[in-house]
Amino acid sequence: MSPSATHTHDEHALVAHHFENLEQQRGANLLGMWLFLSSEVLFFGGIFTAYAMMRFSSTNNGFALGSSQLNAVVGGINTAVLLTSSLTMALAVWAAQTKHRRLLQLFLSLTLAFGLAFLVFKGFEWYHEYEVSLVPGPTFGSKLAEKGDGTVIPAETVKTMQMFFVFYFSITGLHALHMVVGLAVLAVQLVLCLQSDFGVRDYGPIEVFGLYWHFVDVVWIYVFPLLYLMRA
Amino acid sequence: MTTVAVEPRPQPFEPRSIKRADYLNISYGVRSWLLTLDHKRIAILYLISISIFFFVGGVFAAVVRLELATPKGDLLQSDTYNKMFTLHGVVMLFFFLIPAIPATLGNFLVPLMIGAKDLAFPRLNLMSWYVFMIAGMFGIYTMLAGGVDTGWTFYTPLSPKYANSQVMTAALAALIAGFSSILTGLNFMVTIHKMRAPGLTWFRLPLFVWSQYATSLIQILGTPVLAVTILLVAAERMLHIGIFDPALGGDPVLFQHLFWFYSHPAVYIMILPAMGVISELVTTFAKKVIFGYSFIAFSSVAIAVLGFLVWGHHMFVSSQSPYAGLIFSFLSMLVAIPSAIKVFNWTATLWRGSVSWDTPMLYAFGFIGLFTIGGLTGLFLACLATDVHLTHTYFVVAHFHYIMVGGAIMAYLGGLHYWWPKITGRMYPEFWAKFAAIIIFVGFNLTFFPQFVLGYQGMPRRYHEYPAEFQVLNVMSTAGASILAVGYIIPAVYFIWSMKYAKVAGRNPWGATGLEWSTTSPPPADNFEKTPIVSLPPYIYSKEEATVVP
Ligand SMILES: [Cu+2]
Repeated sequence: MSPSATHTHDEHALVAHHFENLEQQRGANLLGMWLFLSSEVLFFGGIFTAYAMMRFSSTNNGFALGSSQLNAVVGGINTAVLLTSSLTMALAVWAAQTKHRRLLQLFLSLTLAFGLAFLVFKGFEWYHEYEVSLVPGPTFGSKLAEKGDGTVIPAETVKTMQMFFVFYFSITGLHALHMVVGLAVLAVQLVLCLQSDFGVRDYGPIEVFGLYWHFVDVVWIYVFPLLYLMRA
Repeated sequence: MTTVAVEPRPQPFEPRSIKRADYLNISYGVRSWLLTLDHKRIAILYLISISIFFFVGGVFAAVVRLELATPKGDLLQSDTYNKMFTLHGVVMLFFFLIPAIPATLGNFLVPLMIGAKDLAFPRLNLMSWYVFMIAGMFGIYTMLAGGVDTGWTFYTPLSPKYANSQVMTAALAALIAGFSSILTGLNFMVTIHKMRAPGLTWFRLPLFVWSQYATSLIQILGTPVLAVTILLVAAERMLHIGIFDPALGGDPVLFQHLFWFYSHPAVYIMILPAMGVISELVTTFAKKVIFGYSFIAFSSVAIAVLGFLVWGHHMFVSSQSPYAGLIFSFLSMLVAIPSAIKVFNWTATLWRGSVSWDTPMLYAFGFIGLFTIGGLTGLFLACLATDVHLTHTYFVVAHFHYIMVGGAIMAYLGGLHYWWPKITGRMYPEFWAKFAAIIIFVGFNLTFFPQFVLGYQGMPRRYHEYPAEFQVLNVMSTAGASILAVGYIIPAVYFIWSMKYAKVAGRNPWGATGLEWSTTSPPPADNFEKTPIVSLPPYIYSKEEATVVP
């Protein structure tokens, strides 16, 4: 294709042949990510709806009891970690747009570090829940009595608690899966930034990934109160 | 960019071999197809794959009809029969109807119709085909490993708990096919937003593009709900923990809500693009501007939006509250309005047009009639009181086959004939095409009209035996199905034949408007010699229309 008149010389190298110019390409990529995220909203929306329906149709306090088994402090710290990673991600996009290569590398590394920290905390949480028999299955709740004040929880309520933990592990698991995918992409982008002028040459890819990262963060903003804080 | 439509150098000794480079002959070999980023080639890849699935799904249907030729269950065990209708449904819905028009005609036409070089994300487009094929592998594995017998709806607690067939792989096949559907929809939506040629405003878009846009909306927003639901079913089946099993405190009707939240709108993934095709056919073969352009355009969007609010009509006889049922019934009936708007506008377009009876138009006429019957019988089912009588009977089967086969497949075939000259550069044999179109129309009605009567008389669906008094109508239906099968095989044969032997088509054999007809047939790899500039609304067939229409 002959470069159209609107192309500057180095812009031409960045634009795929089926786009007219860089602006169109950026716009398309951003809109593509927004649409993907709207699809993701419905993906999580499905399971949130199921959670709401089961919670509000249940006749005992199993959901609230399940909630209070979770460690809200660790969950809270994790929320802070993830929010901070969103901040560093936003700064990374800013660095890319203003062509600060060193800062871009720094902020992407920080985002990666915070993201990994979140997953490590989450892993410890899951392990703890496994240890105190909160993983749904035949042995669910077998160690509940040791921990409580001695009052026996009725079997029906334990069943509902198990339901809560099915949601808990499904939702946090799907969220963690999104984190892992995000971190993998982030790692690739970081390596590219370290090796070349990727990101400052064209901030498009960083910006598009930033949207995804913020989305995963926003999902957690809903997950945290829904699972950890609704204890009554 | 290297794939410019350059004239190949003329061979001195063979002047006949001078060929223009088009998307088909620009490169050769399996590799050039399997790694292509050209939306037109990807459309062909999809066309081949879904055609194979269509015939596979057809074989299952044939077995079902054969069993039902006699009242006794003499050909199949009930288990096997369950597997046959399940596989028929899974294959036809997830592997044929949902991708049918968007992934083939849509893929080929959307960039051409808006004057773009390709879809916005060519790599994603190719990936969607591979994802689709992976899903297909799961589907084929399911068939070879003994099939699945839950019905295509995978109802709980049957599917996670009691069924001992290949539920997992079948459900995964549906899940993965869903991802390819999301990718297609996303690609189209971005393309339509961002890549229109200069001057091509929203209200100058062909109505086929509008319908694809509305379809994409459903693909993007509906499919993920099915995905997460299938994941929950899978977890329940593998780990025996879950939220749908009453024994674990779960709710099986919750599954139905989540499932139909996708699967009702999925019907519109099948029928909206079909309506888009019909809009194109009707104007071209009436040689007249479409009547009520903006009504047709917005009715597509209205159907997509309303379609998300009516899923509860599948649960009138479940434990859903009757008040919810009342609202769902009302909303379901509302969908009839935008559907009727389309039918009236198509009919009005024909009025005082110079209507020609080419094969695509035969399919368009077939569509309008059959879709009307399918749509009106849908109202019987949307109505609470009649639904109690008709639900789970053959009336339902007949209704949705009128929509999906009489509607979607008729339009798909009409579109395939209409754009075949653009896709391959050659016409199809007119006599055989008309012959097949008529055979299909007759065969279809003979197959499915008796099923309305059967259902009304109370014959339930999904049984391999039935009382002897239903036999006459069932034999009619089976006879119709065999005629229908012949009708589907004929086009498969002459389409393949036509690629080599039929008459060369030229740019615009129909004298149609639309950017796709302004380029060569088959189009060059980049679609247009130079980016077209649009200065008129679509479907302008005469000077007077050019001045009347805004
Ligand atoms: Cu429905």
